[in-house]
Amino acid sequence: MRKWRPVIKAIATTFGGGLVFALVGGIAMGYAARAGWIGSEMGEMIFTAVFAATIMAGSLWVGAEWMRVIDEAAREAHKAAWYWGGTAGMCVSGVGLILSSAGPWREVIAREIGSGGSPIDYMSAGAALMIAPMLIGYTVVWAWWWLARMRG
Amino acid sequence: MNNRLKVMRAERDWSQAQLAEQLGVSRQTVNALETGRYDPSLPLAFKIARVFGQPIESIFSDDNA
Repeated sequence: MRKWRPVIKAIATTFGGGLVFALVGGIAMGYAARAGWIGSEMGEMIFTAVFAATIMAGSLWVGAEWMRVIDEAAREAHKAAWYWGGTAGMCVSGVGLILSSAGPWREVIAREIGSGGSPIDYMSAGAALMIAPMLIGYTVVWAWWWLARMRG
Repeated sequence: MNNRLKVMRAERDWSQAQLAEQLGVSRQTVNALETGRYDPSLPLAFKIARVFGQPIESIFSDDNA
């Protein structure tokens, strides 16, 4: 259990620190907006961006500690999952990118998926559609890597 | 690559979990090594050799040799 301490520490620091930051930062931004130093929307955006970046950086730290603790076969599984699963996921997203970039079929796609969203909705959907296939590919390849090596 | 891990472990009456603990790896990794579906790194191969008190070449052999 002792070997997992760096991972637990990274998780506790990231998410504990995140909670403290959310509390203190939220109060500070609220104060700054009320004092008229910054617009409230701008303050919220800056706060949320810093919060998200901090949590993501902390997640990378957790991942780094995790990779140090697990053994070499488990690391290989993650490397294979990252390369093959992530790449396959990007290929799926790539088809969507090509189809939505140019060509007369764009109108057909637009009719099928509907309209009415704002650009920020499209940005959010695009980011989610880029991440989701990669995550699914990662999980599938990781599970396949271990299952292929568990058969006697 | 072929290996004699399973036989050597059985000779010592060790479980996969016991061997895994001595090697500092998971039981799943020992299983993958024994079935020949995962080839260890050089440092892990040396560690295996140390644990069994045998030279590497008496534990692992090359398919193409």
